[in-house]
Amino acid sequence: MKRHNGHIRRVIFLVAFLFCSGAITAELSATDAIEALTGKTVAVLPFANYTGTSHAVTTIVPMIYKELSQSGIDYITSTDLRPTLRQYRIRSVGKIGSADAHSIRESTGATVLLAGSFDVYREEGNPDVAISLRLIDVEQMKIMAAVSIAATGEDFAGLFGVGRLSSAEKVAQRLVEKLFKQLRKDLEMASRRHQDEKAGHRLAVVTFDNITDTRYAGEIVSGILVSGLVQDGFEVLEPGLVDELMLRDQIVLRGEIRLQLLRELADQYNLDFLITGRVEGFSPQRGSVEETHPEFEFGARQLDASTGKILATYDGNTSGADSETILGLGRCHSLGELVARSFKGLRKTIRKESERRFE
Amino acid sequence: MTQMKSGLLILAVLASLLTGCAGMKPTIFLHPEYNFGYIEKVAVIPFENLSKEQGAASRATRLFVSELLATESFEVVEPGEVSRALEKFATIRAAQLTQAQLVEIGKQLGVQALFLGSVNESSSMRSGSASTSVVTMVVRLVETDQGVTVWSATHTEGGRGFWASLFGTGQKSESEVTRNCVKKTLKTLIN
Repeated sequence: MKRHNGHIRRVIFLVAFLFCSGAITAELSATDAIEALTGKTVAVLPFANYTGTSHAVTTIVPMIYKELSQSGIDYITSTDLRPTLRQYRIRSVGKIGSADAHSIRESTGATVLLAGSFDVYREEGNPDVAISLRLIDVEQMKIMAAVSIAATGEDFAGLFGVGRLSSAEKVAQRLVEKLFKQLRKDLEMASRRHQDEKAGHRLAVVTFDNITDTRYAGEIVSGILVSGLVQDGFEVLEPGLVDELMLRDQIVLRGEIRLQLLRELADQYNLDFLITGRVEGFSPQRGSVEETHPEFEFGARQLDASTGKILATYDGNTSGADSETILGLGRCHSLGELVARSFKGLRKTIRKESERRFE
Repeated sequence: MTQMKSGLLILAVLASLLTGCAGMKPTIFLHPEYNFGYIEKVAVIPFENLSKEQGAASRATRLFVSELLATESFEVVEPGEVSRALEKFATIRAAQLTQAQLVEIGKQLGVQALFLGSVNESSSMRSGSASTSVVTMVVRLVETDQGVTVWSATHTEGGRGFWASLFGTGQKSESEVTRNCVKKTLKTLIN
């Protein structure tokens, strides 16, 4: 009888575990101090909001501040930064040029900047959220860490749909927690690379051209690509530096680069490669989870920064259903996640080409 | 015997009708005296969109550059440089550029030849649960010494082949059809 009871207990435990597996995917909030930021002041720049709804800002920004506080980071909120931005007429959001970054440092003492964007924030249907964040070292104007993260409510569902999140706010909360964990991990990795003196190849990303109906699709995917490349160990130029040079020449380039500008970038920032491309399809999941899926189509190319020669091209056309195995399993619901997955092939091509060039 | 013959005939007619919906063979012009070995570096002028689908030409141009590079036959100029060179001729349609203007663009870009083209048709038709895409492209290569066309090809890709018509299989997205069209067009120049 005792043995029988033990058996039942084990079964109950297993069933409970399976039921809750979806609910426990998000881990506890990041509370450990981030070593790389100890003793430094982080200025939070105004985030670029590409979502089309102000809810993204009002919901996510306080979550970011909470995580910064819990991580023991000394920070200046974007609201407190506003007088400085006004004083130096700094209008760029989501990215920053060298001159502006140094003005902020002089005025506030902040040596690190937190910039980023809210890429997707969809409240209706299956809630979809995508966020990109970057930490920038002002002294060297170098991206210290960059993370792009995305998920839908459906992604948290375990067996029989237990754990599925129905509000964008809850999805955002989980993502912000995960994002800070990833930032911490990336900073540790970067510091290890620095100790090993393993400097990655330097590259810049010119904002992708956008021919889709979705406004800012070029900016969103470029941000996601920057994060992926930083995680691959490349030294990626802060996108604001590229914009700064374009602004000086009074041009706005999307999905292309002019040789003169490329050479200048190469000389000034010791650049090895430049990546750019075009977004041709960018549509989120609409309607029910079963019926539709996100779609993404793009083309990208890698240029040699010293000659302007096209070294590699990569075309991608994917949908959320491509990864489906059976009964909807493995399907990708989040547009941001689909973009990140699609970029894996491109990043591999870039890595290969970089290794080949410097063999 | 006669029954079998007529049966075969019906099958042949049916097959030819169904395959007739799929892509046609390309129409090609090749300059008989031009030495193509002279061309090392080329530029692709953004294709014109004569179809009703927004972005069709832009997609075709991008895929054309990719496929051209994949052949490893020519060095291709960065599209940003092409845009810069075309700034002076912004008000003129690419198809209306004169020989002298083409020569000037070629010199500015330092290329031996320019690819120009248009997407004449890009459409998707839906019948029942199946959809069919059709893309027609016209591309030409102009050498930049005198501005003479040395190669030209027209190709239509898409439609539903025999098996697709019969079993509703093998549906291709517009992007795939465009890529196939570009590949087959280029194949008439570079084998």
